[in-house]
Order: sequence, then C-alpha cells, then structure tokens
Amino acid sequence: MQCLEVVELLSAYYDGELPFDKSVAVREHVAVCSDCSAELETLHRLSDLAMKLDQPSPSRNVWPRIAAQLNSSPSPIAPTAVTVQRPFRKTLLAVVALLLVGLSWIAYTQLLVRNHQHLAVNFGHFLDTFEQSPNEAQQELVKHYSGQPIEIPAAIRELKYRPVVADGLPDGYEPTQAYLLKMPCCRCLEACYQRKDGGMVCVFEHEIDQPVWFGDRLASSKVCSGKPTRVVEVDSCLAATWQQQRHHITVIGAKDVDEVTLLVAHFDRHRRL
Amino acid sequence: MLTASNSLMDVEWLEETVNPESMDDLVSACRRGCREAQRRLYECSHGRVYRLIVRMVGRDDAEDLLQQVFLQVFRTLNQFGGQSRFETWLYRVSINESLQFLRKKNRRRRWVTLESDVMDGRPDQERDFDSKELMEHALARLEPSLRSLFLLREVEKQSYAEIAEAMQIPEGTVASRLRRTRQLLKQYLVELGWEP
Repeated sequence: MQCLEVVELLSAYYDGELPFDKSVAVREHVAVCSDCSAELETLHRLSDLAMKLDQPSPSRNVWPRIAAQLNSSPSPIAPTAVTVQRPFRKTLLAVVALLLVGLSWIAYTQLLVRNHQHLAVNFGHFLDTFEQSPNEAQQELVKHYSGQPIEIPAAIRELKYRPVVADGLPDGYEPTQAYLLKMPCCRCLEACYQRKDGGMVCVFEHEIDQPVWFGDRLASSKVCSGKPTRVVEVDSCLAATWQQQRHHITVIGAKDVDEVTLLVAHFDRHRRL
Repeated sequence: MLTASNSLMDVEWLEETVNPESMDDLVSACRRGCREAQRRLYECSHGRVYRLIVRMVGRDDAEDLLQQVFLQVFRTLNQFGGQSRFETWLYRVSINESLQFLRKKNRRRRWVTLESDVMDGRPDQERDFDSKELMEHALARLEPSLRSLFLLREVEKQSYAEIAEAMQIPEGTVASRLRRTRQLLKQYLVELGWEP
C-alpha cells in the first residue's frame, strides 16, 4: 500500500472503522513509514485535545421550564370503551363503513407520501450543498435518483404531459441542463438555469407535494402572483413550492420573494395560453 | 414502575446506569405522557445533549436550545420507531435543532459570536492559548455540520454507523467528512500556533 492510499484511510483506521484486510495493510505500512506514522500521531493528539475540552453543564432551571411548557400542552388521551345500543347498530355500521373508505384513501395517500419520505434525507443534503456548490449538489442528486439528462421535447414524450418549463423561463435565465429523475412516486423533471448574476436556479415538477424535502427549515406561507406558495430559507437563498394545476412546482435558488413571484406568474401565464 | 416519588438523581450516575432495557421502558412511559418519566429521561440524557449544543451554538443560547430540543423530543417521540438507539435519535434531533437555530441566525455573525465565546477580542498572535482554548477556537471555525460530526466521534464516541444515522448521511460520507474535518482542524490549530 502506498502513502497516498494510506493517507486516505488513516482517519478511518484510527477510528477502527476499516475492514480487517485494509486495517492490516495500513498497520503494516505505518510501521515502516515515518510520514504516515507522524500523521497517525497527529490524529492521536487531536483526540487528546478533544478530550481536554470542558464538560459544561446547564443550570438546574431548564427542566422546570420544559415541564411548564409541557404542562401547557394537552396530554395524550387514553382510548375509552363504549357500548352500543341495538337500534344504533345500523347507523354505526354505516359510519364505520364510511370511515373505512375514508381511512383507506388516507392510507393510500400516506403510502405515496411515505414512499417519498426517504427523499428528505438526500434532498436535505442537496439543499445544504446547493449554495456552496450547486454543481456538486446537482451531481449528487442526479446520482441518487438515476437522473438522465433529457431535452424538453423528449421529456414531454416520456412524461406524457407538457412541463411548465417547456415554454422557457423569463428573460435573463439561461438553460443549462434538464434531468429526468426517478423518484419513488413519480418521475420528476428538473430543469436548471443560470441567472445573469451567475446564480443557479433549479425548477422541479412533481406529482405530490413534498414538504419533507425541506425538513425543519424555516418556512413561511406567501401568496405569490395569487397562488399560495410555501417559501423556505436555504442559507441565503430561497426555495419555494406551489401547486400548478395537477402538479407541484418547486424552485430552488431564488434570490428573494420577488423572484419567486416572477416565476410563479410566468409559469401560470404560459400554462393558461 | 416510574412514580412521582423518584428523587432527583445525580446526572452522571444516571447516564452511566440507564441500561438499554430501562431506557426502552423510559421512552415508552414518556410516549404515554408520564411527566416523571420525561423528567428522568431529561436527567439521564441532557448532559450529552448540552455538551454537543454548547459547541454548536455557544453558551449564551445553549440552555434555550436545550429546552427546545427536549420539547421537540417529547412532542415527536412517537416518530421514534426504535430502529436505532434512542441516544442516536436524540443526537439527530439535537443536531437538526442546532442547525435550524444557526440557519435562523445570520451564520456569519454566529460564527463570530462562537469565536468570541473562547476569545477575548485580541488577535490570535497576541494570545497565548492553552491547548483547550486552541481546540475550542479551532472547532468554532469549522462549518457547523463538520463540527457536530467531529464532536459525535471524538467527544461522544459514536461509531460511524451511529453518526450516519444521527446525521442522516451514508457511512462513507461520515468517513470522508471526518477525514476532511481532521485536516481542517489540524490546519486551524497550526495557524493558532499548535505544533502537531
């Protein structure tokens, strides 16, 4: 094993997280290589420094504050048994039947949503990476969802509907690439554009609303060009999502709410034409 | 059985002695809304949460965030499916809440504030750091998600699999980011005068 390879593995070796064969190879190399041995010693010293850090404790009044907050919230309610009089049984059966139909529908839609839940993890990472390195974020997303570069006419044929980006974006947005992503519930078209200021904007069109994409990021409800729009802070840029006829549109990378409004209005206008 | 008669127990003692089985019982009781169980869960786990978040957001905001983390834990405990250890889930909530807190604030200003927690305003070259201060200062310079990764590994002694679960990233990413974090820390420490 060469130094270059060992340096890559040294951190995981130090943590005892390498497979046995690699661990043995690294150990044998370190035993005869002074440079790598010194690197390993540095990792030990970093750990020593970390272990010297203070172990701070909070004050005793945090729990009383938590308890006060919990006391002001309703407690879980235990289910109670009920007895039913014979004359009401038919009515009750009808109600139960209706409830079952309703619950089946809810379960079906929840299943669709759950299929998309694991997307949240990867999409959260996409958002984290987007501002620092939009291209890197893009590559990872495409890799996770078997994304294929696609031209818009081909996307129309594949998706069997005309995506909102088919008529382009307003002036000032240069198309860079579109991808067809294979997401669990649907195939999603993602189209990327570069603004005149060099910033990147990505437009996703999907079949189900995806609040999970944004995790616990700060979100607010706005009305942009007459459409209810959820706007989410992603570092210093914005993500926004709204319903456009049967589909949902999500834009990542907007500078401000004005830009979101511009895009909402643009897509809405072109969809009506 | 958890009763209101449980006395306030020593935090560190509890942290060491709550075994997995009793932790499951504690979590179940918390789900049912038992206030005493919630207090015990807080007592046996708040130390590790506080250790983490104090270095994520700084001492000034750490107690408020600790309160927020546990409110979030008790309100969303039904979402904890038991696939991972409770401790891992707790770290996940803590990291999410910390990152959300930092996002809400201006990130740049927050880093400056964190540094000011360990600095006294004098330029680096005029200070004679002890090793503990060096590490605090270098940690504060790390990007928050890398900082939490390093703390989970080096202070909380979590495995790569547990860190991957807590941070919702693949294990391979844990390894590569941890390697990068250590390189960055070494670089920052050297800039502060540390001799590796």
